[in-house]
Amino acid sequence: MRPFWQLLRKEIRQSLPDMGFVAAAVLLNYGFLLTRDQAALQTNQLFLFLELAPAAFILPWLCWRSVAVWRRDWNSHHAYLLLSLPVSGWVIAAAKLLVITLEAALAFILMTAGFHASWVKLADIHLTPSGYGSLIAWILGSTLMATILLLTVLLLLQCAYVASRLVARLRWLVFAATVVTGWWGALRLGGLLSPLLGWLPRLPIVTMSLNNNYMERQVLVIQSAPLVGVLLVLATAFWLMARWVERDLEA
Amino acid sequence: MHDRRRWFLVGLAILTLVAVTDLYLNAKQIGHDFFRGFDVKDGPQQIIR
Repeated sequence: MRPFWQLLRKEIRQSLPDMGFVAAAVLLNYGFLLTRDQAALQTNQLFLFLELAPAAFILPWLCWRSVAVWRRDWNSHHAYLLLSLPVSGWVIAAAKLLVITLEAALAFILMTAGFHASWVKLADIHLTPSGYGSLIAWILGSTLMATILLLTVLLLLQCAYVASRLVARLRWLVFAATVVTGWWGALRLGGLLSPLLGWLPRLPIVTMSLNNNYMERQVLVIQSAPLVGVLLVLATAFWLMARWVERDLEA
Repeated sequence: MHDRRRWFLVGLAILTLVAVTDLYLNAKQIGHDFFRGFDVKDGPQQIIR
């Protein structure tokens, strides 16, 4: 496990400027909103835009970053070193995947916390200490959920980038073909497995809705079968990525 | 190694062709099958104060 932690530390060190940039941008945005007075927040449409702007920015940013953590090694000619390390392909693939997971988790927790804090102020919602406890639990839970959901996209993008490095020409085409095939496979397999795996336990999903003067917590119970299809495709994508890194990739 | 890459590209090309054709012809059905599988049911509801 030691090489994995060393690689992960290197990846985190390299990603710190980007993590810092996103964290500062989100904090500045919601910090600005929290310092406005409530009347201004309720009347100015710009503030509503700023409430939602980080989500529109962070999702494409994380998609780009999931590819960039691989791309930087090829652009800076560190790929020779990376591929010559005496470690398994899965160690390299897992370190790259985990660093983007951490970036996503950091961005989501700041965004969800900032959004809810400014909305509580905007809507003038008065919470008891136990209400704040529920809100914090929801922020942590939704961060975990959003990170896991986004990970399905980020892993496929990373797999597609590694696949595109297997060819010398038309890399963008191989990248696009891998993404389309991966998503189609996940949706088709999820749909096909649902009737067969109906006996699997159901999962509770907590949702929180913010109304004008109160917050509502609603539990939805979903069948987990379609997620098994998605997980199977993602496990295949990770296995292929690790195998390509170990055996087929060239610097 | 080059043989493996060639097979990968051939496999990917075939799969992509199947995927794009299937998505073009059955996009609505694919989405419907996938999301119906979740079978969402309402659980407890609570107002936070």
